Amino acid sequence: MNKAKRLFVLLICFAMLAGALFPAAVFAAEKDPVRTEEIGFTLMENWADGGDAQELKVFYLYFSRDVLMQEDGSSIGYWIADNAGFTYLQQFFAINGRTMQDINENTDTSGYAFSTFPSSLGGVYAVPVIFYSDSPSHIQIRIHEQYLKDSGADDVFTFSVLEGLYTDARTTNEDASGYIPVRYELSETVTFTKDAENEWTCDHELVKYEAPEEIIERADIDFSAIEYETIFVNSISDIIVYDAASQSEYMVLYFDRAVSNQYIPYASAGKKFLSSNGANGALGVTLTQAQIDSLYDYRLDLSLNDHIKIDGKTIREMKEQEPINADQRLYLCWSGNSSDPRSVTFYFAGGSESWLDPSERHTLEVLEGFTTPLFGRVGASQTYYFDPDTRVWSETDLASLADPVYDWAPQSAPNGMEGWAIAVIAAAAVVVAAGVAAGIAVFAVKKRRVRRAADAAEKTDGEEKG
Amino acid sequence: MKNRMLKIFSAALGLMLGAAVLSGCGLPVYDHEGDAVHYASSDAGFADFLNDFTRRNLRYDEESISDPANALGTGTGFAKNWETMSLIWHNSTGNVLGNDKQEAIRNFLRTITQDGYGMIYNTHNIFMAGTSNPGEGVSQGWPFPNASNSNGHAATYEFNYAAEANNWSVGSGGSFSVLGNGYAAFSYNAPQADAAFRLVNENVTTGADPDGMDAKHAPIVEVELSYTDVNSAIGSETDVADVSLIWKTEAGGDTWYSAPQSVYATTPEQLTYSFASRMFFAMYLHENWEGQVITALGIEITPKSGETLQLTDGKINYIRPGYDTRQSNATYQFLLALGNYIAYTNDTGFLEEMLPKARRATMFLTHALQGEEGLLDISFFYGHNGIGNTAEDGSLIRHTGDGLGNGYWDILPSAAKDLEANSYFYQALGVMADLERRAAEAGIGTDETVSVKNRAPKGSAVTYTYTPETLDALQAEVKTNMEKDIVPVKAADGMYVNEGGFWNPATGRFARGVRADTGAILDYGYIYLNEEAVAAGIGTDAQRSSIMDWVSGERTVEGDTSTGEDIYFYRFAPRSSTMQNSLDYIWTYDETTTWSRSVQNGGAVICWSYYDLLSRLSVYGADNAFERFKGIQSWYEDVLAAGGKGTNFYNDYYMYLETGSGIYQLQQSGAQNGAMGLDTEFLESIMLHSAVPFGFFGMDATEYNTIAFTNNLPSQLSWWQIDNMLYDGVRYTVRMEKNAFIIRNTEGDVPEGSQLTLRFAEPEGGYSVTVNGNKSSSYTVQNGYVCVTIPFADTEVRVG
Repeated sequence: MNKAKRLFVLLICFAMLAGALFPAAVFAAEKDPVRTEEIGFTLMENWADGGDAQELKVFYLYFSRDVLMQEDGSSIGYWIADNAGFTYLQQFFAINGRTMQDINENTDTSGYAFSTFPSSLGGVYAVPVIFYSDSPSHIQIRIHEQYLKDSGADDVFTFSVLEGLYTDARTTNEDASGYIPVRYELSETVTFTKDAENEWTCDHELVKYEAPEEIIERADIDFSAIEYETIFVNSISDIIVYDAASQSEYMVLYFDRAVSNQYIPYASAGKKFLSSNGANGALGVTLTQAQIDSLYDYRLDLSLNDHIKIDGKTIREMKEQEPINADQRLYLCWSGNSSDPRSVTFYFAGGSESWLDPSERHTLEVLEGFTTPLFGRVGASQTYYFDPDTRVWSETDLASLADPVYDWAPQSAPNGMEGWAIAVIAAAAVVVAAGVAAGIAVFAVKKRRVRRAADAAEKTDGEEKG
Repeated sequence: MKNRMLKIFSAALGLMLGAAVLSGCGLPVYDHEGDAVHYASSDAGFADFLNDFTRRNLRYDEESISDPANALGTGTGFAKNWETMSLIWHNSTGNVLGNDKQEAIRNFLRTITQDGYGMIYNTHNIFMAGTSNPGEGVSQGWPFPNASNSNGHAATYEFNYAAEANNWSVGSGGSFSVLGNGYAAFSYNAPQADAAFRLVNENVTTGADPDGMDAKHAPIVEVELSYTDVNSAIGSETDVADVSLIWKTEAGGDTWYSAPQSVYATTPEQLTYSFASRMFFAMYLHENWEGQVITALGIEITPKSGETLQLTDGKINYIRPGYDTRQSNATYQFLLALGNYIAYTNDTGFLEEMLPKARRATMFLTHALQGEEGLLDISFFYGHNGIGNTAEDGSLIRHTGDGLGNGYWDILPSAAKDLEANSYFYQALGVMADLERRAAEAGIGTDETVSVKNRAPKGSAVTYTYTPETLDALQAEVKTNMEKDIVPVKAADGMYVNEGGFWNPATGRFARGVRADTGAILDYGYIYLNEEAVAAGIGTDAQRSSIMDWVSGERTVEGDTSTGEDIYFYRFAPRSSTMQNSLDYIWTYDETTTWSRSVQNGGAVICWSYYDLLSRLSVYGADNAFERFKGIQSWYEDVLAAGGKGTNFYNDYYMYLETGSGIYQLQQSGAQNGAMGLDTEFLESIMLHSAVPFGFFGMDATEYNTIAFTNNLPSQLSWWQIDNMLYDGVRYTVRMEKNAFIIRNTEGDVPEGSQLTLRFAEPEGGYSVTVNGNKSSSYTVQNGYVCVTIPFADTEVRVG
């Protein structure tokens, strides 16, 4: 083949390749989301002082989905206020009818103190209203107290999310194997009102938050090669309320042998949470990424979330009831060397929907297949029942049982069919029966004798008569 | 018409006469309303005593003789059999006794810790609080003696105060500090491959020995330690090769010796990426520890070849050198408790689950404690040599580190070959044979290979190969050996060993063992230990008679302090011993040795009346045993009359008798030592009521699917009845009359195949057997007993 011919073939090949790739390139360039969903709201929470000089009032708005995120799914932080890609959002949030953009662009803040966000930072945050989002599911709103006073909104005011708000986000597909883009839209303005008692109300129905299933990369493990050791539940501690004011409590599930030597906090949470908090020692223990990976590779998160049931619900199902921050409101830890390597500690943080009332009966099941970091495995499901009277968990549902009957009355006292009494009665009956029988017999014999005598007399009479 | 009337009268008369005949044949029954176990008998006062005693000792209501901390079902391993045999055969389930006792027993048996040798711990091996002390949280052994009893010979390292860090150092790459919360913390970044982490104290001293620590006072070193291997994760190999104790000795100079946990820990850990263990190093098994003076001590974490260690989250609670307080009790008590549980629940699923654990426990007795040689030898536990105190020139010499206890009496030195240990070993072999037979009948597979750690360090694991037949044979051998005369022999090392059994021909009873330093036979007339053996079937006929004649006062043993009627001075039980013991106590015991002032020395414990009654029944017969039982009733009625309630039930009676002498002092641990064991920590007091079913009713459920009774009704009673019995989940009443057994009130689903075997002494002359009123020929005669086996149900069987 000569050089020109070779060049021609090469060009043809390029052309064919380009033609083949073209549809994919078009698709990849397509920015439109594959679906849209209506934005819902779950909760407006708090009305607290914030900042060193307490010049801010802080509250939180929770969405029903993870609506605020960067392209890679991470939080947007203060970009909601200062990044061109997100500042448009300011148009869709209004206080007493004025949008955040309007307030921030048209309010003279020269008399404001900015100790928390000094104007030296560039003026971005030296505004009456600041948004911040450390989680895709909610935003934090900080309003300068001076603005509230100046605008007369320090007592009762409204906070509206305006029709037309949209965000581009992503969520997981049905089998949680990958992400799909989603656009969240708000078709109708929603208004929250704070009253003089700092209670929030909403003019729309609030809806429960639903977290997207976290996509967890897991190594392929040959579970059949693992020789699991059969383990058993030994006991469960009382439900211990350690902060009555916030209804924070914990309880400890003990097995018959060590289940994890290492202390692994928040082991029931997603991998993302543990990765971002465990690796830096923020949780009281240093977890390497490999150690975190291994927890999910060996499906130990599934063990905690799907193989323990409280009052008939798995931990996963219980967490789904939490309106917000499920992994931090109800979480399980492998206690490890922090207290007892045989145990798993359950925490119900303040405000958890799953809070266990110690004055009520409860059940806790550890299901067959529950596995541990030390390769223990529960071979047969075990159910425990909490008796609020004794505050003890037991495999026997004591509270469901009727009160036992005790009869310790002396045998010599009247008590039903007492032995000696019956014996006397029986003996008496025998005597009476014998007497009656004898009487009847005598009577019968007498009667027979009388009859025979009569018969004889009759006969005699007859004979005599005859 | 007249004839018909006559027929009706005749029929009525027949019925009445028939009823009269029947009621005369079977005595009328006693109907009981209630859920807890309950007794009734033709002697109403006796039944009332039994019921009142049982109620108070079941410890579930306001009349409990103990606070809730000592509730039944909470007992530790050393007494688990006694607790189980008093709870498992009656309706102790559900909420009848407050909590479900069957559940409590099952859970204990299932979860109690077992070490590598197969030994069952006394309590679960849980981690200790940071600021715990030696002797607390007993797990593998007993609370004392510990380092604090060593008279300054042993030192422990608790890491409770920052200043303690001064004595310890780590090498390059290591960090170490004492946190002030009861723990020390460490981490390690090895400077190069193959470098080990070492935490050492190069200046080991004790109060008594400034040059070092005599290893005699530190045969066991307990360590609670944890760390995480940074370079590893779940499922991956760890870089750590082993965790070891390291030390130097006076004789070895600068040489460091090492005892890896994989060899010397009683329960070696399988090393994973993270380590956390409360370990017990059996240091006395190391040739460079035993007999040495320890001058330096430390922990070494060694890497695998070529690896560079990185350890984080290192934590040490303590390093505790101390005495070897392990005992054989918890292991055979476990086996016997399991036997009882399985027998009366007939729970084959639980048997299958527990069989490997039971086999390992058996191996501990036969291999580690050398029971396979024909007698159990507890000298595998360091310091269990029977050496008590000695008197020299009027002074009491205490032998610190010798004469550790094993068995019910924790302040009495146990000899290497110990009577009580062997009595229970004998019983445990029988139970294990029964369990194996039951497993075979129930179709439980025996595929799993069970092996235990070799008693010799670095020896190969030892595999369980016993069958019911070999266990039976070993049991018979143990019995024969125990019945041999005791023979102290001086060994080459100058110490005495017992080359015989336990029979002391000089006193006509079993002795406890041989004291190793003097060869003295430890025979203080221990009644409980003798009767325990007799009740278990140990002893030739002549030996058993000799023992019971001594106990009953018929025979006087020369030199005994208590003889004749005085043996039953305490009325509720015979004295524990009949001869004054002034010297043979563990060195730590510093209380009175005056006669009849402590439960060990002429005092009495009510639970041992169980063995007294069973021994009398076995040797003298039911009438004699019942007469003794009536004696206990008489005492009990005097106690009742004093009006004591609840936890003061006995106190209120004895406060009038105790006038400061101490003779009538109740033993209550934590409060007072005393001569009488009745309440509080004496959970086993409830055993007395078990003498009724196990003794007089001859109850036995060791055979799969079968519960058996043997009629031992004393002539003083015409009937005896127990309500709310429980077998295989079925509640029932058992009633015994002369030559009759009646089962009534069966409640619950009787499992398919459940059988009842009823045994009666074969009557002299002609007799017939009736089952539910029908004459039956389906019976056998075995060893002088007529045996009737029928389906388990309401039934009535008479022989006569």
